[in-house]
Amino acid sequence: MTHPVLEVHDLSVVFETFEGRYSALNSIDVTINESEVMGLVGESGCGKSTLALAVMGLLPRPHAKVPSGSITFRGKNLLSYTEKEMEQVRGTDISMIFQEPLTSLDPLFTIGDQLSETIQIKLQRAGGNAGWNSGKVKAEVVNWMKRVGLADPESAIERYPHEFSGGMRQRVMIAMALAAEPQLMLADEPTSALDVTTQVQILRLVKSLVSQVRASVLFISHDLAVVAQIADRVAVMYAGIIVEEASVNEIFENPLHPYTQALLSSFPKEKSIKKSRLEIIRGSVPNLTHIPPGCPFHPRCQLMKEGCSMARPELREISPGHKIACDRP
Amino acid sequence: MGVSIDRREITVILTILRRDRLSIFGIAVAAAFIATSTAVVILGSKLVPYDPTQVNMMLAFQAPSFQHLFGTDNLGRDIFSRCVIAAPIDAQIGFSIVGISVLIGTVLGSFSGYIGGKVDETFMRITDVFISVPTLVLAVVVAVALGPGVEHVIEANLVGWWPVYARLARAGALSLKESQFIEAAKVAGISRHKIILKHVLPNNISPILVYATLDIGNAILYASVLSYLGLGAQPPQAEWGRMVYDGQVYLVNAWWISIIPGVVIFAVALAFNLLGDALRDAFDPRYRK
Amino acid sequence: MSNTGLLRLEGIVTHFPAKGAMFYSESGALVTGTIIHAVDGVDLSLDRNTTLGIVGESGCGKTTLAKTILLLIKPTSGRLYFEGREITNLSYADLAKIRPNLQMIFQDPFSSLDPRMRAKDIIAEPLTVVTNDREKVKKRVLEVFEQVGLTADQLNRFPNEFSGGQRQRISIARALATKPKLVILDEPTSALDASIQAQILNLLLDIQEQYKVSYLFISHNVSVVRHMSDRIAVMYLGKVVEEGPVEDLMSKPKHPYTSALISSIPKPNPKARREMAEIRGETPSPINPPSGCRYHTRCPFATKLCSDKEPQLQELESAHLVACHYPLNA
Repeated sequence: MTHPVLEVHDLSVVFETFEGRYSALNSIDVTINESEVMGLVGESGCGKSTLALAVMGLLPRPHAKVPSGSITFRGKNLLSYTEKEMEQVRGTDISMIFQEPLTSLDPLFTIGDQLSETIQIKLQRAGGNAGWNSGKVKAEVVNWMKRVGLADPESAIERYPHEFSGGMRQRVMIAMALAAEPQLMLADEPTSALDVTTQVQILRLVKSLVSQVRASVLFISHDLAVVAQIADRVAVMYAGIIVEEASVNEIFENPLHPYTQALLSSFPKEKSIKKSRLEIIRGSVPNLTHIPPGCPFHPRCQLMKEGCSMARPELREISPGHKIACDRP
Repeated sequence: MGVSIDRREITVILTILRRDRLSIFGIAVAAAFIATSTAVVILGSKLVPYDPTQVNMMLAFQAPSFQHLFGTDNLGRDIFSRCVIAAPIDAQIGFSIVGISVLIGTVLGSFSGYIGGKVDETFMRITDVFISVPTLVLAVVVAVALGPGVEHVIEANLVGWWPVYARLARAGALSLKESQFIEAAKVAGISRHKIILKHVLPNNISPILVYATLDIGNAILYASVLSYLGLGAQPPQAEWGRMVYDGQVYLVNAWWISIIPGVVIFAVALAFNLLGDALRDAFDPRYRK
Repeated sequence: MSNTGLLRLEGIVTHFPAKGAMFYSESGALVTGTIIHAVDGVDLSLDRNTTLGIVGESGCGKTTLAKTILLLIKPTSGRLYFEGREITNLSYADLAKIRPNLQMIFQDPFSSLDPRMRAKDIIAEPLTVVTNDREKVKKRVLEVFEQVGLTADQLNRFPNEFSGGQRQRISIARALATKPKLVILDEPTSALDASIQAQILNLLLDIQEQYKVSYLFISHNVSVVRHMSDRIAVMYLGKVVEEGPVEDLMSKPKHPYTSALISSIPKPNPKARREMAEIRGETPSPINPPSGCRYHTRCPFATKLCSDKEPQLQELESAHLVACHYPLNA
């Protein structure tokens, strides 16, 4: 039986900037179940990072406004939480890892110190004040360093973030994100800045740790191929809406939305004739201050018809577990 | 680095400037100052209600009133008129000092920073010497050496003023040097000095512009101090700093003679500071988000 | 290997002093040393109207190699030949005469264009080195601008008014303005969205067909490089470990690193997950490259010979070279 860990319903987020008002998310519905890795794919500006920030309560106020929607986690709407309540949730129940670990690791503290914080909180929660002491915390810290594959963990914990390579820092981030055994981990392009060979290591690591800890993951990436390696389900976003959602096999074997299909075919393939022309999607991603009316993809869509510019298609289930937002599949 | 100025950009900057009350104050006063100075240069004494040099012992020591907005001084001269007439002097001093410093400093600093190596090292040592001496002391020493007069005040201050801009420009040039578009220019075969003129200088201007605006306020302040000390504009020419000095003696009984010109100096200097601050925010990409 | 080639590198070595540089050893520890061996002995050649792809991960030296070829950085040793003539020690002024034939397209569409110049001036700039005739320049700018898919009304705009993909098109136009014989592309599509990447790659292919220009295509993205290249050279820690025709190299790689690299590429196919091989460890630092074969610390097939003796690049099959004591698929 799958229980939802996170239910986003009808979520809209709007930004007011000096350059105008733009709609980053437009009535999004997405659900993540227990122990599930949900891949969120889309190009720049589609709103995927905004969704993660909204869940973490890290939207830049006052510019960001949430005119509608709810984010339900463990039965409660996160949007109604106060900042203090969100602080309790962050890092412990919901954690996050980013593309560039340098900015999320404090350069002034050793990685051991930073990991200890999270572990202390977890141990406190598990066993009350009597359940932990600094010896126990240190043991857990070293244990986690081992689990994420850092060589020589005992001395590693005494070092500072800048002393580690990108791949190593990412491992530390993963340790920090999972040590508190959260129910949900958000990963925003965690491997985009890494070499391909390091990426393989990190993806494998995330996949195995996440299932050990029994966390759900929202894995955000612009790279469909990366998502194919790690996700159970995939949601494809474009200009602030979800255009298709299905199991990972379905998305790649049977993509139904024109955008998903076009995206898949614009990759250079293994079997493609060398130097052949790639299929392209004409035009470019719209500026979010001027999203086309109706279906936001319609100006670039091969299947476009008259009705497409009038009403925004709803995300509907076309076959079990496979939803698309298109009136012309 | 480097925000290009085009119509859209100007609109954004103006919007930001409009929002903040302090910056509006800054713009208003700075604009009034510049407008007044220009008007005085063109129209001369016709602009003011009273002849600023007219001595009339009968009207001496009048407190501020409707007839004499700022009161009269020990010689019966209308202080308001004198303040207005004196405006262009400080405007000239402020803009000259900053303007010429920007020119010299930016060009020298950009070249030095871009070319690097021994040239840069030598240049840095030279600017070090100037920067390590407190600007005011340096200005006073030079002014005393040169003698009184407005031009000398400008020159005296210039000596200590340009190195700061040279440093700013050099820092900008150092970071610009690594930009990909500079590399692209090299790949295109553009000569070094052309690269500096066409690519480095124009992109170096924004931070310098902001600093320069802030700095005009300082320059005016320094000029006033020098005048206060007796260097600079000589009587009977009206000049704010000088007026502060002259009125000191009467501080207890006729405070307005000294204080009011002092407030004017303060207000103008503050205005440019606020304006510069607001401009800095306006150019800051993080602030705009 | 052809001797009448367009570009030839002989033993190019580019070292930097490592003052304050920080790199990471295998175990992730900080290493400080005296010299960064960014490019450590590279021989390459490139003919007319072909594309040589260079792949490698961070620290392999590919960007330094590109800058060395363009003589933005002077090689520490080695020789560079362009159109048969040695250019290694040319002065800035003499080099300027060659520049029109040897251009570059940079990675970052946001910082490779001067934000204060209009598009038409950016593209005209390389032409000003060649001619003073304003009319000629104007005509050529318009011609190449339209060739890259932009419209004349956009000529007067500033870079910040264009999208990332459009800026890259301007970059391409700038590189092509002088009708160069060789263009070096350093990660030209890495900063672009997938859908735009496809457009730009197609454009590059169209241009190559039309101008018969050679490309030196540098990228960490193996699929893209494979798609665009005739030959590929694989770099690791400052050296070329394998070089060959693209189909051969990709289907039957001879160097263990090439093989690992290819199998690390994520495929858009969830069923192919198990096939991804995992290389141990991290890339060693270019300050202290491992002895013998640089890859031996991570290679599953390494023996004592590998750590003692450095393998040289050898031609195993026609035009397919590899530097390995135990090449695969031999």
